[in-house]
Amino acid sequence: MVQTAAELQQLKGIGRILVQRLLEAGLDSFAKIVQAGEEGLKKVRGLNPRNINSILEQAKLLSKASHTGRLARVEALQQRLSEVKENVQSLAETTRQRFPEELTGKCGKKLTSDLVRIEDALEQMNNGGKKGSKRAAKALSKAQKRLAGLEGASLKKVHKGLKKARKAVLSAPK
Amino acid sequence: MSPVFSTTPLWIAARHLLGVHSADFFLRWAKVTKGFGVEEIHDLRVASRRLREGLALFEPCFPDKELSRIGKQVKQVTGILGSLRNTDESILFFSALEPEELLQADLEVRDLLTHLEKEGKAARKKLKGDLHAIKPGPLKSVLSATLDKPQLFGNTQVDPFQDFSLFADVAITVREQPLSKLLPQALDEANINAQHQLRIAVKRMRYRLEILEPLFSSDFPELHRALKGYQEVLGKLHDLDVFAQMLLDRIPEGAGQKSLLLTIAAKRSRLYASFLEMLGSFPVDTIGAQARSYL
Repeated sequence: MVQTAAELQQLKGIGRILVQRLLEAGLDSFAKIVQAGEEGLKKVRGLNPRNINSILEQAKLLSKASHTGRLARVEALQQRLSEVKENVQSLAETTRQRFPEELTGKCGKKLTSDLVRIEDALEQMNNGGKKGSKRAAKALSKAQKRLAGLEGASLKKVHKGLKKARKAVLSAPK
Repeated sequence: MSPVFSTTPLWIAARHLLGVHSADFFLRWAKVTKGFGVEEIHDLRVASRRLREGLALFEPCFPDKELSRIGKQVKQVTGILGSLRNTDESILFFSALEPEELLQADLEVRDLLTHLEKEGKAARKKLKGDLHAIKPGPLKSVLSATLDKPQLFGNTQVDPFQDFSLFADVAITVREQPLSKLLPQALDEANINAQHQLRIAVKRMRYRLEILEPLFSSDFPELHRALKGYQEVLGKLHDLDVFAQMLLDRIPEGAGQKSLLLTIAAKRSRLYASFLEMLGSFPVDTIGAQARSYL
């Protein structure tokens, strides 16, 4: 996973200029720094050779922490995804039970179209893996907010809520 | 796409599984049009049958018989591929007959093979033309548009929000009934029509179970093997009946024809015995119940 310049500056002995030089050398993550090892770091201009061992140690620790953090984020995203899926299904089911007559025509078709697009977007998010997980989590949280409290609402409000939820999930990275 | 589970709502499972099987069908179609190889043609035929079974299975989840209309177009593809298969199988059978099986019919069979090869060439040419005449693009678009329109509201046939496993249980029962009904009749060795019908019922059950496979436990492969075994034996029995009819129609009456018919009858008898043997080890009418227990 690529680290930002600010994240790389967490390494003691690495300032603004050295971050640029690390990036120029293709060392844009803690993992890559660890992989480059002593030999790789020696090639970075301006890096004090006495600091190399310390930088490698720090990069190892930070790489581990970053990996664990990423896994936790992905797990949280999966959890939220299934929550949103359940919310959508339960809302669709209760709406069908509450408005059996009203949903037979055009209104039912519109609602179906929203549900299908939400489901497809959630599925894409599920398959998207780790990429853009922060933005995806944000989109899901927004969708959850839009769906909240709609179980007892009027059909018009349910429709509006689903439409907003659809827009929220479609805004997530693909 | 995520796999389908027993608690997945039916409408989601239907869209997902039809998507998977239609993608497989179009992929195999593309492969056939590249070289028209025997294997590719066979695979496309199987994929088309499986897709048709999927369309029939999930028909109630979609509005106004749209899937059945698509099914008719897919059936056209199956039909186009079928005629070539029949000729290929006949050539394979008659050319594999041993000299002692041919007896006095050597000349007649050679003559028949020459004709069949000519027919095979013509059938291959026709297949290419017919398949090129149907464009997969529009069919793909219609299918994809239909899958985006599940009938979630006002559906009187099925509850689209029910757990997929509940729907699957009923779906297996539907295909199980013909098996139980046809088996007693098929046990009469002379009742070739019942055996043929049983073969079709087995085939349909097999494709249905293959579609529902994501729901089954790890015991499914054994059941699947048994079904394939039945399909193979009953298929060969049917082929022999077709070959026998071919001899009656295309070889002049006489000693040669008679000896060949006897050879076919002997082969059929042996095959029928192995069918009975299979019934003893894994009765065909229990396959549905077994599959349902795996859900």
